Amino acid sequence: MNSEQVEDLVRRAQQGDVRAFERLIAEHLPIVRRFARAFARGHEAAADLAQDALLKVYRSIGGYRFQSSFSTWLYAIVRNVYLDDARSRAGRDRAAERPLEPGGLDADPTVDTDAPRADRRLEREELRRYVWEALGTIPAEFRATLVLYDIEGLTYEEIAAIENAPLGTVKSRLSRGREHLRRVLCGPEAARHLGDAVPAEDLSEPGNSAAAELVRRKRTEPA
Amino acid sequence: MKWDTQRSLQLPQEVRDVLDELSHEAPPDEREFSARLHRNLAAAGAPPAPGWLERLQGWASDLWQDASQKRTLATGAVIGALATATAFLLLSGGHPFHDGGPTVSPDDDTAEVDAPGLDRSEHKALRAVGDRRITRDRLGDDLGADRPERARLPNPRSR
Repeated sequence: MNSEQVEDLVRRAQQGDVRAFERLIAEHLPIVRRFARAFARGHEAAADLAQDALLKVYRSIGGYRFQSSFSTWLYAIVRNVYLDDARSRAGRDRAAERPLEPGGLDADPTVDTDAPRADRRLEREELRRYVWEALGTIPAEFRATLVLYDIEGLTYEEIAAIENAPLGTVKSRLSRGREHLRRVLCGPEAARHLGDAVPAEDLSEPGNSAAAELVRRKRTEPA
Repeated sequence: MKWDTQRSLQLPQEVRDVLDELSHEAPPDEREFSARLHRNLAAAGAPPAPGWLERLQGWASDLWQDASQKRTLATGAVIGALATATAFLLLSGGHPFHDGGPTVSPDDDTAEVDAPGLDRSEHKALRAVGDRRITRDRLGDDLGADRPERARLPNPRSR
């Protein structure tokens, strides 16, 4: 979508054209939803949060003045909604609605009934879920930066524009977020999630983190 | 916005693998999500036009961005002027009004009040030739100094 098309869609959306707004945000939906996943427990809570954020974007579009790219403006609002939610009591309540249980999975009607494939799928889902959970323990500002950079692949400059912060601040937040994530995934806390698979004392060894064990399990399964 | 495997070298390889996997994770129930969003947007109605405060903020923001280059020049000019003034003050020994004397203006009627440590003769000695004399004391009484001076007669003893 070129800039003229974006401008036309923004003008129409500012006048209340819902279809134009939906076309405008269509390509950003996966990022907005994955980003929400880092701030909510489970897919349903993440979907609720993403809905709130997109509604906020729609209500705010009258104030968009084409001073930055539309995606930057969009992600800035989405990020603020997520951070506000994470800080508020409502956000904590939302997280508490569906406590994460080890091994528990969202109901997925597409799960294969074939046993080995189903197991592999469950393992993959468990791994992802475990990492999402670990991401959820990172302080919200560091988490947002880490998700935008390490998962969504935005550049430092893009994130600086979204967060309205200097590059140095972005790099600092990223570094601290990674440090926190590494501590959670590779530290003794990870033992709780692995049960007896890896003794707690072995998790401090290089290459023997909880995530490594989960990946190893996934890779050594028969095809 | 492409994923670069060299970006997150601070994290262990296995963690980077998982994050890479998360970046390709498609959120579930896409159609249901879109349908729900459409309903919410339709129910929300047209987005409100920005109020006067938002317009004012936008105007200020426009002005700030448009004037960024001019602002840089103005900042440079101000810094240059300050540097020049500082250099001038340093070169003049920190006393811009007098060379080594007190910073009391000779025209100031309150000079005696401001510099009480000086007696009258000392204060008089500080005056430059041609300075206007003090005509009133601190209570406002006429000192008589504004009278025309009498013509000096030659001193007969000096001859």
